[in-house]
Amino acid sequence: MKRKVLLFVLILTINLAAVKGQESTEPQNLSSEILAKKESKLEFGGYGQVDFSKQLLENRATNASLDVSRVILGMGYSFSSKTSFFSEVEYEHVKELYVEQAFINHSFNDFLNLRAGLILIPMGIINEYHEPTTFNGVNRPTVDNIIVPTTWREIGIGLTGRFQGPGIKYQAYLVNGFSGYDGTKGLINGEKFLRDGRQKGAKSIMTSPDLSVKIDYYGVSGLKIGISGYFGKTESALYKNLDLSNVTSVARADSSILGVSMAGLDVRYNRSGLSLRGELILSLMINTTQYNALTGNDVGRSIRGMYAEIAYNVLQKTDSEYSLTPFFRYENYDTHFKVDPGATEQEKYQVNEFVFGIGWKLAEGAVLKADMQLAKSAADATIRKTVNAGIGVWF
Amino acid sequence: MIFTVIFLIFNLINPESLLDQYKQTAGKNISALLGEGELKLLEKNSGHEYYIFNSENSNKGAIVIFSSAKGRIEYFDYMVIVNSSFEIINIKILKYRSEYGYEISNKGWLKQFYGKPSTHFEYRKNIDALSGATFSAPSLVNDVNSILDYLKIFTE
Repeated sequence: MKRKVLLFVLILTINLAAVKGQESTEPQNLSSEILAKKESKLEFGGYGQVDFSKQLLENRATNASLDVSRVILGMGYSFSSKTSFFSEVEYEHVKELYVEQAFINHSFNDFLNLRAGLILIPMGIINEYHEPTTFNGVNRPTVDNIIVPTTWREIGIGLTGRFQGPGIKYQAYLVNGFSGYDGTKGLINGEKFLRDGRQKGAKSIMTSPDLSVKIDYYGVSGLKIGISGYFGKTESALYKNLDLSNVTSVARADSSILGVSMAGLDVRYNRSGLSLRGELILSLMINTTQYNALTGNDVGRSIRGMYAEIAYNVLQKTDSEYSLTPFFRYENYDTHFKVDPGATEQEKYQVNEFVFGIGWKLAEGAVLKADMQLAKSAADATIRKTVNAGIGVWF
Repeated sequence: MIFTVIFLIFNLINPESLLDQYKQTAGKNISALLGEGELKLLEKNSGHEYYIFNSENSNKGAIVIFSSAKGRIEYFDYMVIVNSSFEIINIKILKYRSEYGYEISNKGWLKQFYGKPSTHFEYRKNIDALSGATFSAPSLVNDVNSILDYLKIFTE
């Protein structure tokens, strides 16, 4: 009975709506409304973080550091419903200017998109999703700094697409690799691993392209699992104008190249205020003996990093508009997991880290953070303690 | 399965409605859930298209709404089906354009909206946060709320 009354009301309303439509002088047209919305083809966004950091030392004084770590302006332009361009311009520490992304995207359909330009390498979680409101803690996880050199971006071309039914996304790119040798010194080492080898698309050199792939599964609500792979060789300035008949030069150039293979597994899970995430990265380096002999560096043969994090929004069950999220993260990484035969495994590169802190979201895109970082390498006698605090925004 | 939904569109001056664009995908979902029937345009406002669904062989009345909401940079198009008790019984993301935030098409996550009449949805409260969809997920929540608010004129 109730249903019939409702339907009657609805049908009556249809007629009323029809009458209203006739009386209206302005024709209502949804597509024009939407087109009007979409006519603003140029869209801006941004993110940034301002941080405070102080190391706590026993019997020693030290200054705190206050830094505008980064401010980024993002800009997107849609040429058509299928073709768009996206770029991010970044100021780091106020004075350093970078382009973080600059690529064109053309969508043939959901399953197939072509992307080319300066792109983020899909490896682990943070390299692609590094906006400060999306991760816990003032600093990005250390594994996503030393093992995955976030923000890792290079110039390349590739395909990406999604299968909505099963919930699978893929990305596959041919990209430029790390610069392993700049002509005078080796840029890759045991301490900072690949970090200083990033070319970031700035007058970068390429000896041969690398392959980067990632598959994400998002078919179960709240769960996201990613498997990433990166395979290739570093680039070297010694191949510039290289005389192929000169055996010594060719051997020297060959020694300046490292083979890089990296595999990553990442998991994220969100449910009713609880969020869990974890990441495991393994990397194998080839030609390390020759490279280390040429450069005097100490690149490990096998590199490993992992972390696991738990967080809970304590205001989840309240009516509060804020979210207040304490978190705890454990990290472990070792850039000398395995070294060349005869080389020394440096204990200082094997690090355990605990981070605990809190994030207070004032709004969906604005957060205040504070945390305590405890790190200890196998060579350290004491624990290194650092207090961090900062603000983060994303819009 | 044969495509069985017959569409009757009142407004002929608007051939490029969202319904027109997604006739096939939307039609499959509608007929799977509600059986054969017809859609009549009820109202268009604030970027939403409201249609009444009248079933041919039962009195399963429903309202089908098409909408376009914004992620961080790009818009996505979706459909909501509301039954005669004004409960959402289905949400389908019809077109997702951006490379980020596509996780909102996850069926399990969308189920959180279903079967909850007169509920105001709140991201992170009664709708779980979604990794990767920082902009699209709250945007969808707000847009669904605005649709439900509009539909209140039929219940109050």
